[in-house]
Amino acid sequence: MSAKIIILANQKGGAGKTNVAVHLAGSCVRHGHKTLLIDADPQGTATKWVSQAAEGAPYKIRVMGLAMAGQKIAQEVKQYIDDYDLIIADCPPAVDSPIPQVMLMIADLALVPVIPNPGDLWAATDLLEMAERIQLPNPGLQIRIVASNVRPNLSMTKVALANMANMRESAPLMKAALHQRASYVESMLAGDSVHYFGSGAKAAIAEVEALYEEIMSILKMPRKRK
Amino acid sequence: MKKKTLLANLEMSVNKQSLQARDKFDVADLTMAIKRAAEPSIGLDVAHPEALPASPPAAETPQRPLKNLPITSVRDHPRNARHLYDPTRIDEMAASIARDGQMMPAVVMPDPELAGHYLLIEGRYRKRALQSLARETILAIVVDPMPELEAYRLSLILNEERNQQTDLDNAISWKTLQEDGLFKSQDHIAEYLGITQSKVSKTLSLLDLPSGVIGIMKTNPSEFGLRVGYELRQLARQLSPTELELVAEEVRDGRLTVAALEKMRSKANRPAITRERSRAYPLKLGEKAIGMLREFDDGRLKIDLAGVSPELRHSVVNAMQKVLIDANTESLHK
Repeated sequence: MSAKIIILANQKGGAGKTNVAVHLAGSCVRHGHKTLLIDADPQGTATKWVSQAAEGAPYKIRVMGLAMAGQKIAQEVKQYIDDYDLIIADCPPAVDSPIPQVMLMIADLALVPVIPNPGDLWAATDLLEMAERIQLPNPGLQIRIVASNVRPNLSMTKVALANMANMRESAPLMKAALHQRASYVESMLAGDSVHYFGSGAKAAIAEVEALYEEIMSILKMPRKRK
Repeated sequence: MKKKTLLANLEMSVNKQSLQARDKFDVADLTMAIKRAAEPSIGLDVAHPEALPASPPAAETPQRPLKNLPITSVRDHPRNARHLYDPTRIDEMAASIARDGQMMPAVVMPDPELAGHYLLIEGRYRKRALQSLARETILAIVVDPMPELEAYRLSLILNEERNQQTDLDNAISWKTLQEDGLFKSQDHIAEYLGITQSKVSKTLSLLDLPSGVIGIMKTNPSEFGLRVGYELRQLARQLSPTELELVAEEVRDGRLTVAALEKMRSKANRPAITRERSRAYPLKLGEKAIGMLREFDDGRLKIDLAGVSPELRHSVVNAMQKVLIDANTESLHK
């Protein structure tokens, strides 16, 4: 079976694309899926992140930098489609690059991380519109909004989350959300997802796992045991 | 309490932003449609499909196969299933197709579920119009969704300045689309693109310049904005066509600015320029407005009709010719 392609896309930087991509990859690797993380952002944050891992670390995330492929990225990605179960691509901001559009054309699932605040909601509208339109030539594409960097117990958060849930019929809000947590930032230096911290980051691991579960059911993929 | 109201504004502002995004992409789609219409290989020459294979496009533009497909092999894209169709628009398009043939190809992609079949991406009204005429085929560009993407949609459009159309490009493509019946009027263009009607009319009037001047403009359209166009039209009344072409060449080569043109116009030692005087007579067929007759003081007479049946066209032309022949005989007798 060829790999399912998940892309992380948003109009603006700093919405948590790389964080979601690396964590999803970390979770998938631990569940035993053959997973390839593609760093399509020329900033190379995902590549640097993953390369912090110690040599011989277990559950090493495999990353490949393809930012420079530009709009040819799809044909590069397609080469690996038979070798993996999941390909997760961290895309650059849509205004800077044709990559998000090209990847939307071949993706099975587009995850759009949005921080629940007005600026980030406004900024997501263009990408959501673009993704919805690309469902026309790519009917298999599913779109989901992921609440990212959430600060709980703020009234703004509640209002914004309610809004995100109704923003677009074509892009439902995922139940799983990633909250603002120190462990996410710290995991960058570990070169791994928060799973690295084990019982030191229980809450973070739980929400990443919830994200994994939900994605498996969206993609109708069999869940694997850890 | 105050904060609560503020927070309630979020929904409205997000909705507004979403609508703006939709508009932006609609304009983007239109720009791409305009580009296609302006491309000679798939635009107007489509009326003569036999001429198509002769001119392969430049190496970097992907070859887009243009085909006459059986209309039964083209189904609506599932995502558009809920779309409502305005029957008058179908009728209008059918009339235009019956008159001129299908000027703009539809855009289809191979149906992933059914070999030899296609999904309609663009041209739903064209398809319905053709069906109402009981035509069996539809002229369509077949896009492979993958490599076609960059050409098909928007990649540049989010960055508008990278993709700036010149005013002349716009004028040519709007006129083409108007002639194809996709735009009914200048108001329609203005409304669709979200710009003012006066901008549309100023843009289109670039094409009122003599054809020699337009030829020169085409070689470097970015030098010819709306203000330059206005100045040239004014100068056209004072200068001979050859003189005007020389001026246009200077503008093209960047040696004359708008200000210089303005000066030239006021300097030209001719009678003060009066505004063009014209009288307009709306033309109606029964209750239906079908066009306009304009009479100008400089001796021109313009007749502009749309949606006219071949029979009526024929008799209008005949009547006009008869009037001219009679006038000529009369003057000979005097």
